[in-house]
Amino acid sequence: MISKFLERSTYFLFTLPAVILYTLFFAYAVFVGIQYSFTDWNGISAQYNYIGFHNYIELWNNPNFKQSLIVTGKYAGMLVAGVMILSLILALSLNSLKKFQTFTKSVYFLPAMISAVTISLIWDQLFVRVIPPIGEALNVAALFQSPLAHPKYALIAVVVVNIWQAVALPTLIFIAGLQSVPSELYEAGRIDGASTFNRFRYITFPYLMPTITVNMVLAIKSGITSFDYAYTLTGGGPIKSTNVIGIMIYNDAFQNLKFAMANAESVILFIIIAVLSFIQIKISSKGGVH
Amino acid sequence: MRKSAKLSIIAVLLLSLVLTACGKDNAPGNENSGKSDSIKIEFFQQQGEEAIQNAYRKVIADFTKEYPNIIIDMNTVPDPVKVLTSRFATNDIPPLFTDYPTQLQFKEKVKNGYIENLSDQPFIKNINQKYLDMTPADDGGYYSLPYARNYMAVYYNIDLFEQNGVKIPTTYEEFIEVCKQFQSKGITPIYLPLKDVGHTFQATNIAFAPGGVEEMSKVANGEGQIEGNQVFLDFAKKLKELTEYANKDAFGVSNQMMQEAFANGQAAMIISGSYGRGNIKLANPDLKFGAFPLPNDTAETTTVLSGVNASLSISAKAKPEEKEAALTFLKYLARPEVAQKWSDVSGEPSIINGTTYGDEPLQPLLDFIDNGNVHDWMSSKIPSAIVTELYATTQGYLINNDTPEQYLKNIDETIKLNAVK
Repeated sequence: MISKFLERSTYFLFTLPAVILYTLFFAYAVFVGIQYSFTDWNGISAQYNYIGFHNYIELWNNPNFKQSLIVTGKYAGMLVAGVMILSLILALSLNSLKKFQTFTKSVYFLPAMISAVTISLIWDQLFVRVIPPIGEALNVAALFQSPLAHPKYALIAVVVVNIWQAVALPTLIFIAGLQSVPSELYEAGRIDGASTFNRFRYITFPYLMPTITVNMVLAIKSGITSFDYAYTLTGGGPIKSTNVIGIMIYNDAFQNLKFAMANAESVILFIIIAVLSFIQIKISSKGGVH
Repeated sequence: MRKSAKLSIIAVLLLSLVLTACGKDNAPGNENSGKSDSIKIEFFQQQGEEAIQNAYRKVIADFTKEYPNIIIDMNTVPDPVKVLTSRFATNDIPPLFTDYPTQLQFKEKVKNGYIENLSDQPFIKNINQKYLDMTPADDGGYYSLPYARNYMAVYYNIDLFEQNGVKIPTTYEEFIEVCKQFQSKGITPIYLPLKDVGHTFQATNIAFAPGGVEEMSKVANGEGQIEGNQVFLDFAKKLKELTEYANKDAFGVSNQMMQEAFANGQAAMIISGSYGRGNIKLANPDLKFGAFPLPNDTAETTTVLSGVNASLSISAKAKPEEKEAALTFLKYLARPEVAQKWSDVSGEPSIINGTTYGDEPLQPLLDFIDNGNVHDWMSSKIPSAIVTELYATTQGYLINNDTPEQYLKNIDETIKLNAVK
């Protein structure tokens, strides 16, 4: 009797550190953040008033917020597409390598080990010092300046840098997924005369489905909450063309002294991510091999 | 049974470990337990420029010799304005910090009782009156020790000017003439950092649109408009004209890249803040450069952007012994000989009485500032949220090649959108 109780409570006790830490640093922070979003706190003043949904109404009418959401949406879309396609191609080709597989894998994993800020600073220099001479040599007007200087190309340039780093981890996860596919199935497929594409479509793809879900969720989340690349490469410019929601929240909170407004923006972002993740998990849980 | 007992012991230990780590360290004093009466205070210093950090380091080292029991720990971070705001928001205020007393944000901090009143300190009398007058808070009290002034001006390459027989312009017309002269010789007349358009916007607006900041402040308060304002139209046209003489890749160039390019002789002039001097010297110690005000139509209407540089303040929330240590340091800094040393190393013009400025080619500009028209930074009159949004508006005007009329309309819109309601 006692031993049973001990054993049961033990497993619970093991989860306790995580539960406490999570409550302290995450759940509590979320609740306080939501609470602040209904106030007019500027981040410095000792007092603040509750103003109901005023911040949310103001955001609804703020063209900058809408633009920021659109920029974030575009960013996330390009990032997800780029990361998923590239990492899947990379994983398939790396997995079929016969020699130097480990070495090549580690080469492709290298960017993941450098901090985003460092990568941004390097690419910023590449963009401004390497692109213009190429543009002049080829006489392409669009390349006369750093792509970060064009409102049209800046977002693409930032996403390219982000993709360059972000493909590493999904590639690794995909490779792990690929290795879980039983080789007999491919053999059977070949005997039945299935083409390479059909073998991918009907054998590899279903087995990869759970992995794709994980990678998709991660990529969408990192796209929507992205901040570091855009902030270090462009600071949200030129003309707010890369002003993702993360930058807007940061600036409103710590530069523009609209702390409560920044919290309202975060709450909206939180809801968007929650809804997207929910839909995504629902959709991709159908089909595939589990 | 034994296995589960072991498991529970491990789990309890793990839990206690987590809880201990969460606990606050309440032990008094600090790492210097050897000297029980010594105190270490953090000095949050906002200016990341190498020369300025170096000057503070030297002065702190001297200070420690005189007061061995006070340890000043200078902390300089990237993006300091925002970091400091976040530390105020979380009630983690550094006992000693630099901040900008003329800005509305600083006055907000004073209003909420975060900053120690220094009005009665004897060193307040040691400060250049003209700059001291810029700093009082809303209650008329002084809450910081202003230590240096800053300015935005045209830095010019003395060798390039001499080799091409170019004279320093004193009117806008002459300035454009100078640009044309350099352009005809294949030298980039002016290097603009339009990626960081902010300070270029502030400098040109204050130079070409006298009274413009006050106009924008009115719009922020819901009165009047910029659209149709002739002074602003002139400013807009001149700003665009400058870009015609600028480097081709201006929109991709940051402030730091501009300083490097100027240091390497790639352009004859830049519009730079005084804070750029140290970086230019660092990039090329041999470069000879001077400064002159960005001229308006006549010498009489020329106005230089000049304000109080980061000033030193003490947190009102600090412990009494921390406050005392910080105050001792401020008293030390305000000595003329210390301020002189700091100014010599940092290259920043000190505003402590009894100091002289060591950089001769920059002296004429300081003389102009002392005797001519001067205007403070925009955020002393307009909330900084609006000022930074105007940067993006200005970038849009130049990149999209909008008409000046459209630009003025956009300025109105930006101010109204971001004004405190």
